[in-house]
Amino acid sequence: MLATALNDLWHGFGVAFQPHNLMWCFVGVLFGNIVGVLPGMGVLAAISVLLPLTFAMKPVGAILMLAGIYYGAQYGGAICSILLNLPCHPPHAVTCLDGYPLTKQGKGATALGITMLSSFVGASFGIVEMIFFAPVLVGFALHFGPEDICSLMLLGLLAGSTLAKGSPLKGVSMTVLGLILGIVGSDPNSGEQRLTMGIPQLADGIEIVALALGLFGIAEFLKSVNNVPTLDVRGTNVRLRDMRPSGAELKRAAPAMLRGTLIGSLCALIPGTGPTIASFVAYASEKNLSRNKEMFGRGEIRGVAAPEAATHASVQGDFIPTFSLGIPGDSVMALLLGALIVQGIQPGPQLITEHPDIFWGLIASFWIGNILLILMNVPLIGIWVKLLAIPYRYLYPSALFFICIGVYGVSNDLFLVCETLAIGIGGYVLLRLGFHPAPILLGFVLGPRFEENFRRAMLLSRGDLNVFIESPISATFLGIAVLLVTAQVIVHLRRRLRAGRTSGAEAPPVLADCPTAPATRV
Amino acid sequence: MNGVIARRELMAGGLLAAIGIGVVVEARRHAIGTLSEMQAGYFPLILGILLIGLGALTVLSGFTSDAAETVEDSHPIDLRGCAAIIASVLAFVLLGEYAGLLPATFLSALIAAAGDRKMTVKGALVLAATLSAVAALLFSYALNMPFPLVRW
Repeated sequence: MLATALNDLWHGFGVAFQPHNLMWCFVGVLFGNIVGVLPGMGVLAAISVLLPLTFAMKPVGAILMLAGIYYGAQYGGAICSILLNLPCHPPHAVTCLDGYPLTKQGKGATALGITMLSSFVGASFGIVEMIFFAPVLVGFALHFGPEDICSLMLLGLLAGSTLAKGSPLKGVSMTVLGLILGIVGSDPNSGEQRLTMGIPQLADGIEIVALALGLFGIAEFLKSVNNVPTLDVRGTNVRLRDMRPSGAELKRAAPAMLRGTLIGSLCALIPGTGPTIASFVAYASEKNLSRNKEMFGRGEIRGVAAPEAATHASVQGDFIPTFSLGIPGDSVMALLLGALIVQGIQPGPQLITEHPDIFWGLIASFWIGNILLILMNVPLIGIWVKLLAIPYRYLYPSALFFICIGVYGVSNDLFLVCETLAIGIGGYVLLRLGFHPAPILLGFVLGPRFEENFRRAMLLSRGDLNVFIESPISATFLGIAVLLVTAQVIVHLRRRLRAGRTSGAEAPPVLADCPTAPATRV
Repeated sequence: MNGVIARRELMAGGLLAAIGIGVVVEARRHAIGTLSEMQAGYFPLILGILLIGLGALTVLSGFTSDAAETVEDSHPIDLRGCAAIIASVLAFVLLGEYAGLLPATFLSALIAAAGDRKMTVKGALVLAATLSAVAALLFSYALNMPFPLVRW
């Protein structure tokens, strides 16, 4: 078992080290890193902008690059948080709490150094977890019947929509809306045009690029225009030699790093709990464990090491359910799965055996990418800091241009640009009404497969819904889903009761300390 | 209870329900079938009904929700910025259709830039020129995109 895994990994390195794959991995992490630093730009927007480009690429290169953007952006996001107190990317919001005080004390460079180290430790552990855990999961999943897959998808959708940002009710609503958008187009069985509103271009369904760029590009720009503050980057000069932490600091941060890694890799296994939750949990538990809690929030190096390690462990672990079960844990993973589907690759447990190049190549590229990121970030830190000073007024018109031309390039059709604009305006309306549109993508990607499996399960059981409870695997998933919803309702009711008693809103303690910035959410 | 929240939830729930009703109406134009033999309309019908229910719950939650649920996106709509962004994409489509890639890129970049209150004329021109150069060199020349630079 161990030997096969290592053997496959060796094969993966062979794939990832092919010159063009190496190049795409580099392009991905570089682009991700830049976007991560730029305030007001989100990971989802970045991946969506490069998505059309991947249609002309081989699947392996495409996935390596898109994944590289995702974890590359995490490195960039930390820089933004520590130096400027701007939580541009949600997982790094807690890093601000102790990272920025360190910057004010003139130790910003050390904090960045510790961050890079923690990121690498966290990511490495996440990768190892994926190597050993994904094949085990696949072993289980190969025995799933259509009813089991349905229940698993249901669980994934519920977890992804209720544990994410905002009210659970609205999250579920967005998921259902996503499912609806996902089945627009020809019915796979009869070929009837469903929900196309008579528009012939919609016969093949809504284009995932248009959906992603509308929701995470145009809608975000509509929200952020004239609302992103110009940044003051004076006093953020970071020199390379300051980045090396002293022995004492390293000794202090090391245990926190390991605890953070552990929390992050555990969070990765629970569907719906992405890097953001992992980093919050890691920070909170680090604070609770510490003997001098008052140090937290005033530049405690552990408060930087733990959440950063957790974020990166969880980011890598996020790939586990996506690539072993075909169930994306969050919208970034949904986008990656969408890219695979466009390439004609069916996600699911058979992916690892049918396309070992993609799976093992991806894992090997994680390591290569993380090493590239360290090599890039340490000497180039000065350049990243300068990037922070690019004003939003130049960013969004440029991004808008890349969106227009990128969407056009998908099918050389300007109609798709209109579709993107319409989705963007719709997305902005949803944002104004307090919805977070990210779960739409989750529903969109799973919609057609959910319908297909549901139809098949019902056909096989002759319309008997009991099949979902009679199959032990399906029953387990449904049980967890019920638990999840019950827990949410209880938490909600308790908060209401408490709020009623104290007649005041109580935000979770960690979140309350967080600086808020009108930055792009993921 | 907060009046702003209640009104927002009312609109949010109303929108969901309206979409749900639209989906149900559409689904009924197709054959529904039975649970064991689902036709094209079955799945959309379920989803539409689900969305109507979720809309109703959202409206209800607006009447009972407490202040713990903060209104975070409550800044006023930036009309100038929004209008510029929407106009910019429309300009790209129209000019791209009738005038070619270069004028489409240049003018849509100018329009988008006009949306930011701190943008200068010089800054906008430099930006538009840079993006036009990218369009010509990267997309048209290097990537061979079938999009004529100028249409006559």
